[in-house]
Amino acid sequence: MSEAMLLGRDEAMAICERALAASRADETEVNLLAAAEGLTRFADNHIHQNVAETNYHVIIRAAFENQVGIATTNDISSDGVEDALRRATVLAEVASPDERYPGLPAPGEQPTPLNGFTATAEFDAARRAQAARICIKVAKERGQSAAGACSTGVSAHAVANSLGVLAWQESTRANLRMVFSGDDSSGYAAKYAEDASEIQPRALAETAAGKCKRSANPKPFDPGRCDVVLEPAAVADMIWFLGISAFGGLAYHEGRSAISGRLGEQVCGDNIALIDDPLDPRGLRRAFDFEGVPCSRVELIADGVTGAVVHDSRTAKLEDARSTGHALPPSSSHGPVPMNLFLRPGGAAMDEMVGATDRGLLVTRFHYTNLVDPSAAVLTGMTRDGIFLIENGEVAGGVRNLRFTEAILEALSRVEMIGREGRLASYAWAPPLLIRDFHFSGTTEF
Amino acid sequence: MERLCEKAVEAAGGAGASYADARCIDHRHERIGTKNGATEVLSDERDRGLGVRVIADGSWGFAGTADLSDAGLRAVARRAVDLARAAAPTREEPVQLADAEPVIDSVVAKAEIDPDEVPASERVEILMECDRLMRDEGVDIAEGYISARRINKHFASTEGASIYQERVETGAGLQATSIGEAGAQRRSYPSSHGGQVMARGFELLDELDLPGHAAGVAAEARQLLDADECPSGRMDLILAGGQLALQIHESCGHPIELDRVFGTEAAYAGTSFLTPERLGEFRYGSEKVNITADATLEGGLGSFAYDDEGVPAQRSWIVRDGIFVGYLTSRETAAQLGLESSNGCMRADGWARLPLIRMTNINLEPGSETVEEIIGGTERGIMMEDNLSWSIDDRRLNFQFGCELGWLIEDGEIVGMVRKPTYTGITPQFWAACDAVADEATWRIQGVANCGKGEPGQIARVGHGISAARFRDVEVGVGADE
Repeated sequence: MSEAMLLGRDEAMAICERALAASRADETEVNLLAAAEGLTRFADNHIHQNVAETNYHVIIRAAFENQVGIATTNDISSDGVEDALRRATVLAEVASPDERYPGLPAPGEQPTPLNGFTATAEFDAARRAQAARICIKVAKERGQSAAGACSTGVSAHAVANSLGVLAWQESTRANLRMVFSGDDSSGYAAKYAEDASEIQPRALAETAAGKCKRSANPKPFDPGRCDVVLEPAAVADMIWFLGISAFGGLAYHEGRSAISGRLGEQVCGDNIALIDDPLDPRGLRRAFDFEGVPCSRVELIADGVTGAVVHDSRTAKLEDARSTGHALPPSSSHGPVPMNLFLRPGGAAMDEMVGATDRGLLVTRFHYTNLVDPSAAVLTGMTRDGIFLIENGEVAGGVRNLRFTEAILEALSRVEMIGREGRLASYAWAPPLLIRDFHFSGTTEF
Repeated sequence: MERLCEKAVEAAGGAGASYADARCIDHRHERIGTKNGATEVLSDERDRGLGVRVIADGSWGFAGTADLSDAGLRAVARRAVDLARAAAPTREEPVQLADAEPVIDSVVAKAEIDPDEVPASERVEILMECDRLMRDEGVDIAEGYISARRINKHFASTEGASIYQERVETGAGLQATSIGEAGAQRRSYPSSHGGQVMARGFELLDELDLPGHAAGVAAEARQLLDADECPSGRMDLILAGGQLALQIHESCGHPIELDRVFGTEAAYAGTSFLTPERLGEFRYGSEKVNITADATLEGGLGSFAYDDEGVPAQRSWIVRDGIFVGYLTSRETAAQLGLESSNGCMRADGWARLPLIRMTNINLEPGSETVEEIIGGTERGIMMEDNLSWSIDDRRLNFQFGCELGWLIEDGEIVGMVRKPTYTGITPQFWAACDAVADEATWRIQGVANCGKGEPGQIARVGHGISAARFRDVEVGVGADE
């Protein structure tokens, strides 16, 4: 993979070490990121956008005792990095003291070495266009309209600090996502992976086309409480919002989380286990965070009981814990968040879950979900691209889209069946769920 | 920068582009964030690069690079052409652009107080004073932020355009959070999601007078802990503060983006209910509803001299006397719709991203009543201020919003405060129920600095001219329980 990178390990480390050597601050940290990304976007059965970018990002954090300044640049020349170091140092001198500043982390265990996939690095614009053409061909054959995007990227990340932390990882990302539209319906399919060879355009296109066809001529459905089978993309959306609102160390410490002060309590059904595992190969892996701390596996919920939250150095100090390697870039004030969520699968097949539903809905995915009340983990959003009526244990046709408003932990207390086969949707991997009495609060016109 | 753009455009033409433009951008963003007695973020972020957009074989290609050497410029131009050619076989009709007069110009926006004249130490002092005033009121979390952004940009095209623009943006705000049995209750000044942001200098800081509002915003955050829950049911709704800006943003600003209407966002952000056959015919709202798109408003975050296709900034009608009459366009979509020219709404999030149709300043034009008259004419209702949460379907019809605070109104008078109020509706029904818009006395431009769109993701900074407006018989108090 290294030969595909914009920057090799030795060159990156030399840039970081030059900055550390030139610094007059008490503590200095350098994050150096290099990325090359391409994206091919299609709509109305043609490619309308084909883009590529290469860039660098250097983030320097300088501290005098507990006064901290940050500067960034995309100029990795000696002059560019020195200028960023100078700016960070000047800012640190005028910052007000921060008694909660934990100091930079000292070297500890070495992160697990991570490399990306050559197949992704080699998946160029021609291959992306070919994937789009396959999707378009399937849509045209069905009299539908294809829209979507195929993206690939390679990136490298180095972190070094004046206490001796030195970390380096390479990674790759590939993704094909699509919505096929008919006269009054649509269908969705997507695949996220580190290895582009796992992406099967034709199979995904067939899934999207099938959903579009089966959800045609949608019937109205009254909002209210009803049973739902949520497909993995919908479940992943829900647990992602639960993760960022409730299981970050800062929200937990400040009392803004739905589980603040509730570690060790039963918060949902005992069939629920939620884990953040940055090294699980089913996800998009990360070996270390923006402080260079190795990422740890954290059991957030086990048997419905809250286990732990994720930390960076700051929240670890506040909670008298150790960092779990979940720091965001130093200019972020959001605090640490779980970025590699896994909801433990169960043993049910999708057919069994639909079969166990007398009257309910099968939901492909949600759209524009947002937290109505983060401190109670109440979420709202719309269904989209494939919502179906289930009657007497069988899928009985499409219905118009609905709005849901639900307290996520309460919904996870009413999970009756958990699917055995899950999928990755960006930052979360999830199986399908059968949830009783899910709350739909409104409807729309299509 | 001019020479770099010229070289890139020449190289693209030499590689086979029938059209090419280049944008070279120098970007600097300074941010200060304080929290509970300390400077939490003090940063100075800079980047510089160049993006090339081409039409080759009838298709678009775009590439961006930070390598501004001659070799780097030739490579990025060639790459953009290669990308266009890879896309071309799927396109039945070549890209057509509406005409645009090639402009040669230089526009340097002058701030009354240049941010560089106010040292970081002084900015920190302002926020630390606010921090102390907020915490004196007993809030659990006191936060303040000041930002300054400087963008120097050159645009050149194969048609002969060569435009240099410099702009400065300033942002500032406060946020107070109290935590109790009612959960976390937040109040913001002057608006949520980053406060106020405008294309102005640090004179904005003086006008906002953050220290003068710190105690008040903190006191409201404390009072919210004891406020009642929002009642559920149908009643009149008055939107004030930043919430009216977000209502316009989500239910009008996005559905009038013509690229979205033509389906290019279908797989991501969605499409629009404002389809072309509705143009000039569809009743979007009541006769009280008049909405403009205006990139010429002085100081608006969505204001500029030229868009990223080199088209001059314009003011145009979107909704007139309640009828939908206009879109936001690019040169390509204007041609698709049969218009002679674009109304200049193409903007990119920096040099590394392709320009998309973005909102400029989308404004609800002022009405004729005072805010006091609107409240006085409300028998039973809630006035909601400042956004907390937002969600809308992929054609921009069904929306649900949550706000930081609501004021209960009975018999024309405010009688109490409610916490975390919510409301929901269907866009044209909601705007049809608008029976009053407040007058110019309270009209202002609110910046929205976090508008997301596109793949790869882009953030735009846009504006909304707002006062206050009343909507009759709206569903409020939507929660997780029936």
